[in-house]
Amino acid sequence: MKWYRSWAIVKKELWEFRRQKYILYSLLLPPIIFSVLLPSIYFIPLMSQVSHVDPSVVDQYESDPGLPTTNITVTKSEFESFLDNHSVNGVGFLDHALFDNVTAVGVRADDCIFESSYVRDYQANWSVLRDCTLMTGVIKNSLLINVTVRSSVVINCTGLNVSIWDSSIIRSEDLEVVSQNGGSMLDIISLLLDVYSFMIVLAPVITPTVIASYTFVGEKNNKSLEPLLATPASDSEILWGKILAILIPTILVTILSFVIFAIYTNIIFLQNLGYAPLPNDTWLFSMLILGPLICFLSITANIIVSSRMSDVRASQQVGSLVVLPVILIFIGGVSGAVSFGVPSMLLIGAILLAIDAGVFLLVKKSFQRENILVKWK
Amino acid sequence: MIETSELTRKFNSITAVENLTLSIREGEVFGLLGPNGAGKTTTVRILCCLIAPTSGSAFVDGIEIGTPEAGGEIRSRIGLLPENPGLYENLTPRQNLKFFAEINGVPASRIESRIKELLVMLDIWSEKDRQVATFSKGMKQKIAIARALVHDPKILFLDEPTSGLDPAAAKVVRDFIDELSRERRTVFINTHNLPEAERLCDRVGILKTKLVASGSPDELSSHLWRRRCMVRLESETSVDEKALLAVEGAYSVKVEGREIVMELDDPERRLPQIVSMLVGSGARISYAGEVKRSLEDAYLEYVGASV
Repeated sequence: MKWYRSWAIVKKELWEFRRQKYILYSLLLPPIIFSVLLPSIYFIPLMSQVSHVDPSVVDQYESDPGLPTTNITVTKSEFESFLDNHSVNGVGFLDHALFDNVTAVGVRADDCIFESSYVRDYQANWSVLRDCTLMTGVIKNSLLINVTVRSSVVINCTGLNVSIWDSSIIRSEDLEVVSQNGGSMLDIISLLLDVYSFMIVLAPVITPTVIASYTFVGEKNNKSLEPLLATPASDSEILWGKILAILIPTILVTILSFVIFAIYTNIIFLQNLGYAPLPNDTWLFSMLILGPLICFLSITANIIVSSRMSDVRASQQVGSLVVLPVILIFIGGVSGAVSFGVPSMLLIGAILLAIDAGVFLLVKKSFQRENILVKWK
Repeated sequence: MIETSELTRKFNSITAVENLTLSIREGEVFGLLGPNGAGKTTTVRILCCLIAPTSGSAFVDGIEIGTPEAGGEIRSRIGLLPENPGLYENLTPRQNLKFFAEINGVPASRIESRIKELLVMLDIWSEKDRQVATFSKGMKQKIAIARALVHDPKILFLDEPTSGLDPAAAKVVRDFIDELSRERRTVFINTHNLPEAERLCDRVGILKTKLVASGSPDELSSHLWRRRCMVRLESETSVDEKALLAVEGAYSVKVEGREIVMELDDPERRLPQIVSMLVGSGARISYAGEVKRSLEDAYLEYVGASV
């Protein structure tokens, strides 16, 4: 195997792709459709449906006449005891502050300890919360004990006896949730996030359908296969050259789609829910494992289709059927039949790897000079 | 340089080439003639190691075809011009040639100079960066020839090299083949164009699934016919046919109006004798000479005979 020959084919194909507007479209559209249009169509309207605050709960705390209200900014631990039994508003808490029986609204708390407190519109990180109620905020990397979480996002936290209310999003492995209730809008958003992260793998399915049809059927129609086959390149070198020529731009476009999707989605989430959900496991796994595997499958399947077709458009139409397994998994994810957790993703990846290997062996067997010249239509 | 022995290729029940035995010397221009479907392209494909023979053996530049390794080695020593140029139409001539130079392992430092050398020789250097799709068929054929030569192969297979070209473009291609012949490259031409084969080829083979005949164009004629001479008289004169037939080495005499056509052995010696006989009998002669049979005559005779 002399890779310089395969690389020569890759370069030649890339020169050709640059001149083919259909191929350029197929490379440009996935980032636009999957990364910008889909999040815009689905996430933005759903965000407006999320109930951020339950007014009755807020009123219960905010109208408590027994607590004096402080509007100062507190950043030093010297003020800890001063704020106990206070209601604070617009405060940044840092440096291991310890609070007891505080009503905190619109706060950011890093490395703090809250006990018996009500915290609303908050961002908390690396903190400890005990016997608290958390309302409309984001808490990360923290310990929660006897806590009620309402309309919040809980990321990478541990804890015991946690009650989840009002469609909170929980992304924490070691959280003992004792009760969960409330509206499902955030659950739907959370599910859609996983589903769309997975759905971007449609990009590496669709793009090879266009390119492979052009590469193989186009070469057949143009009668340019025979001169290529008359070079010293072996069948494998030609096959790998063709595969890599499709794989490389498709994978780059896929990664670009995932990255744009993550950036755009994070912007939407930060603006509406106060946290950036990506990257997560589904996103990473889809981009790094499923994307390349599905792309490879799409390429090899389309080579088989192209070998039996003499028309580029017919080849594209038949080749696009490769999208069906991905759609099935997608539907399974939406319906709940397929989970997008790491174990099921690993299983899907393993199955895809096996299918890839099988289809590649079929292609390798059929991709021989004699077959191409004599049997390919 | 190319040797085949009992080479046969079948496609299911159809025999494309049967028991083909050929020997082509280094530096020779060999033409394979035959009607459509005679197996010419199949023969070239076998010799280029694109398809395998069903039986028989073949050696190209001393390497026996049959294994993938041998195929790769043989293909590195040959250049193929298929019937259809099959260029990458979206690319420029330069990009087309660069790709084939790279895949054929031409050293990177040599690629640009080799491309320039070929495109200048074929008079298309000024068009090197224009998209191939915009070229005429003749121009495309020139680029395809340059492609076949870009790695400086010892053997060239040209399948219908002037097919579909206008006379001027065909002449450029023929002149180029002459040039290749002067460079002592071995050239294997498949063609229907019999005058072209007669002009270009040292030897030809007539294939109709089987090899019907082979040899130089003159040899093919001499195998079929005796040499013919014609004497044209200025005016119709009565000719003593018996006296002419009595000349040693004369086989037949046919008088049609002012023209006398004779089959003769050794016309160089006999024709002056005949001319003096005619002049002695009072005839005035406007022309005397040998009438050569064309390769086309021989081809039609061979192909017709083998139907």
